[in-house]
Amino acid sequence: MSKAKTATSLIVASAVTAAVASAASVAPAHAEGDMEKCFGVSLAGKNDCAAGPGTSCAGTSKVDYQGNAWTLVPAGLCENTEFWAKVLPGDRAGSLEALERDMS
Amino acid sequence: MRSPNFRNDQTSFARALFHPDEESPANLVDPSGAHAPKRFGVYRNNVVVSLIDNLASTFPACHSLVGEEFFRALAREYALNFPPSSPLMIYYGDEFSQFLNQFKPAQQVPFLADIADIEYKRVKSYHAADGQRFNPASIADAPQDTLDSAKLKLHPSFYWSLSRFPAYQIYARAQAGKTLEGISFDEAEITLICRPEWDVQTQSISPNNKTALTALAAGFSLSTSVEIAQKSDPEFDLQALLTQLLAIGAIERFKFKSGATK
Repeated sequence: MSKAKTATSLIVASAVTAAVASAASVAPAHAEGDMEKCFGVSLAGKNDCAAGPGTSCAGTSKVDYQGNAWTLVPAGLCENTEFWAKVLPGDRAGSLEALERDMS
Repeated sequence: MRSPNFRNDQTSFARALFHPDEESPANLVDPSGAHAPKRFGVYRNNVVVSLIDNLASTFPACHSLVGEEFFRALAREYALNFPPSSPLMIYYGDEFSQFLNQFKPAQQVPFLADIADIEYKRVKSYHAADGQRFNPASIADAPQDTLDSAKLKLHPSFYWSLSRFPAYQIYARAQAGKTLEGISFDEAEITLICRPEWDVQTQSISPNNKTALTALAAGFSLSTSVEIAQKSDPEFDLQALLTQLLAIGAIERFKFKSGATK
């Protein structure tokens, strides 16, 4: 009994140590501060939040690029107009504040 | 003004919405006072179609696996039998996987219910509370002899799904728009689902981890979970399981017995 217990303890101790060591060496994909809320770039129903009164939030925007719906994007990207000129139709760009355009 | 039979009218209106083969409610009239079955029919159709659309966006992999026509037929059957029980449409479809398991026509695609289970757990994971990122330093000064009685504090957005099919591989292929060619359907698979930061992550692990994962999730200590797991699988590898759980962000911290739970 106590022998079996010792064996299990060793397995657990070495497994935890090794697993944690390997986790520590993997860098996180994004640190939380690396993202920003970008308004006016979400496809309909694909927003992360803030689609206005009467909505339950995430996934509730009614039209593409709705101005009061936001999606998280890597920091710095939202106000890069050259980027949005390539990916959004018309002369739309993202904004860090809610917009009036493309409301349902 | 409310008619004296408001409650009855409301019940029959709600019932008729989800029974397209029945007559529209008898008391339902248009502004001129005439019975309005056509108007009701339009509304009824819109309600059901919006629920089908909702299911299609919650279960995109199921949708692409069976195609538009079959998916919409399944979703219609579900919508008529399981109307929403909450106004939060993000959670609509909580019984879709069980429904697919029991509904005969869906059984032509035997793994479909398991794919739906993964997709619904991804939704729950997405909307779960934010959790903490594991801090490797937290175990550095824990005494070695308390490790085996340690328990796991799992991330609030962590879910897992066991399938007797390679459900994760099928899910990943469907999401990437690829065919299922070359998949061997007799392999079981566990899918881990977690949202450590912004995005929901999915990852597959061996079905051999089922017993240990069940024990750990139920709050048993590491050593007890290992002992239980080894009864059914002497080769059980705790290190591999912990590494995979840490990689997907499923472990917030190890809880040590002494109360020093850092």
